[in-house]
Amino acid sequence: MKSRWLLFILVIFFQQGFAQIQLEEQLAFVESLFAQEKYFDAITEAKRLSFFDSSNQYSYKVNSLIAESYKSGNKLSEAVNYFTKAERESRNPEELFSTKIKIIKINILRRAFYLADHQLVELERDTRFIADSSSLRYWRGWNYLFHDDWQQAADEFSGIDSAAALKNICEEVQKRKYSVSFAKGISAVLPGAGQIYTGNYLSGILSLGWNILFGYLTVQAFSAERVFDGMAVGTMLWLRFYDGNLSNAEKFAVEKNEIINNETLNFLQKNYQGLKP
Amino acid sequence: MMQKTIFFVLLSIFPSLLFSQASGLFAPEKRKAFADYLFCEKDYLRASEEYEALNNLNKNDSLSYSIGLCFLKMNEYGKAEDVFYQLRNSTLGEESRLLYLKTSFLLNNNIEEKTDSFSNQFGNKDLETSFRRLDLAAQIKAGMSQASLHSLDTNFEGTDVQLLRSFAENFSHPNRKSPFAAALFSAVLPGAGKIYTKNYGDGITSLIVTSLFSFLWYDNFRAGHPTRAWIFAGLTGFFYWGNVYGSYISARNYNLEKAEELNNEFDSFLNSKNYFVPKKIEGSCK
Amino acid sequence: MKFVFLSLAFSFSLFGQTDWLRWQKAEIKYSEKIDTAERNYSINGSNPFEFLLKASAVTYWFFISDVDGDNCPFDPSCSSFLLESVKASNLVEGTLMFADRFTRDFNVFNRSNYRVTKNRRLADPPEKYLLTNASTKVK
Repeated sequence: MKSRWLLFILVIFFQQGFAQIQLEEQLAFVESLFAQEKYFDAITEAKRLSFFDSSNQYSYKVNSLIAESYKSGNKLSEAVNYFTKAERESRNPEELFSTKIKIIKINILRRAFYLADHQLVELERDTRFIADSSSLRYWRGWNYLFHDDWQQAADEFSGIDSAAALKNICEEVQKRKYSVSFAKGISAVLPGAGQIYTGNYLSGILSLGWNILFGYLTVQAFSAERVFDGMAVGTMLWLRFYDGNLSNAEKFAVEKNEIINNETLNFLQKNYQGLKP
Repeated sequence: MMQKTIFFVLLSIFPSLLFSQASGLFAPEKRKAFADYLFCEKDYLRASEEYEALNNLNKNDSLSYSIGLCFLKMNEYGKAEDVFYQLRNSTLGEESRLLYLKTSFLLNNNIEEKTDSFSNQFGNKDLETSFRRLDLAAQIKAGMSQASLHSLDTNFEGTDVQLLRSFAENFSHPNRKSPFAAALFSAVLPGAGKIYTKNYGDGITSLIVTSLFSFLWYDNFRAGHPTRAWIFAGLTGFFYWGNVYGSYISARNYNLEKAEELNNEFDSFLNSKNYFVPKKIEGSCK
Repeated sequence: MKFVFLSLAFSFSLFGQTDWLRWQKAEIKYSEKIDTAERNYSINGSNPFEFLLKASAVTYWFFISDVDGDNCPFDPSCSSFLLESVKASNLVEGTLMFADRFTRDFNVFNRSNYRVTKNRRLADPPEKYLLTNASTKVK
């Protein structure tokens, strides 16, 4: 009787063992597909693993791999979805923290500034992660950087030794950027000046020329008491080109700043060696 | 006794070993279960790939049918139509014929001839009802005759009948504006054609702009400024003929928009009712 | 409050449809796409009239349109609409289409029937007004 029980236990034990081996093999298969950058197939196989993993022992790993695959395919909403599932399945504070940071990184990338900021604040308030405060500051810096707030980003990076290069880059960008209000302000005083300030010399000179011409014609019409002509030229031509001059000064400054932002972001993406979103 | 035990242990392990090597997670029945799970999760492309792999191993009508359903769900109507057509005389022939007609209908293909050839080919009562409803929906879109309207009463229920009657009425007598009338109205009074097509803002603008330039033309002639008068005459003509042309186009676009609106409304009504899908397709997913 | 709205905006997933087509690895660009309505300043044309029309349009863009601010609410602008209309039809029809568009540009009453583009302009492509067009669907 005893030996039959032993036999039964052994059979169960071996079958469990083989099922475990199958799941392990499947996980290795998923990881190899991921390594080969076959992300769509990696997700299929990860889902298969998840489907047959009745005890959910691979849940964290599988959901993280699916999320990473989606991220590699630039499918960021889906990636967040699966990182959130992984977060629920995390088995210790380290896994929880690392998954939350991965979600924050995606929110930084998709420029969900307030959402990422809120998540960073939540992590800062969590007493389990007090020791990780410099890591949180680092990602807050990146969040500001993607939010076009380079000065604030530089402030966050200052004091973090590993982020000294990032701090310098942010400060450099802040110096290079054009002041939109200054461009508009000087164009209000002298038409075309804002365009010249942003390097659009031809547009600035043309703007100045039209404003001088139509301003002169308006003044001349009023001086000759041709009120109707003065009103017509003043509103339909002078005002039109004066407004155009203001909006162009603003537009050029904004465009130049966007170009500076993009150049720097491209540089960081391709050349920065440290941690990136 | 000891030998016997060892023999039993080996006998028990052997199938497990064999099972893990030869089949594992990719065993056909496991694969089928996984494919069904993917289908219910609306992961239709992956589901179709799994069904396809199984079908390649062992061709089976049920698997082909599932592949067709995946295509249908992914709005790949052309591919779905092909699959269901192939299955029209299979063991799932009745369902396939119905879904073949449905995909053709969704592809905006004329299904009149097809419904004629498939009529009286449905033994199942539910499928027969779905077929007749699909046939009637196609007739409504094509402009149903007054004589056929009564068949809506016997094949649909409740408030749907009234709605379908009103769709039938709208399809056979669409709300149209005549482009020629619109152009003519605007030729007589600038902007009137656009107002006729319910484009009130553009109509009033046309009237103001054309009137203003006409006045300037007249006023400059009266004041003895012929050059300016000719310039304003040219501008008046420019805006006047633009208004006639624009009114014609406005009526034409009005008709196109109304036709599109009606089609969209009818399609969403049919979608919400899900009249033509055999019940067992949806029933398998919780 | 902003956070709540953003959470909602990003919380729903288009999961199913995302994977209804096979996809490959794709780079996530750090830089943002700058939306500027670039004009084609090259002067060319298949006949002398088209050449002249394009030359006039380029001159108008350079000396006036580019410096008098954003006055046209439409996409394409009125001058581009004229060029595209003539190209898509003929001189007479293109001019009539332009005259109609110019009138609609003056409309201050109601412009709700246009789709708003990414550049916050009103989508109004010439093909919608061609005599041969059979659909009102706008690109």
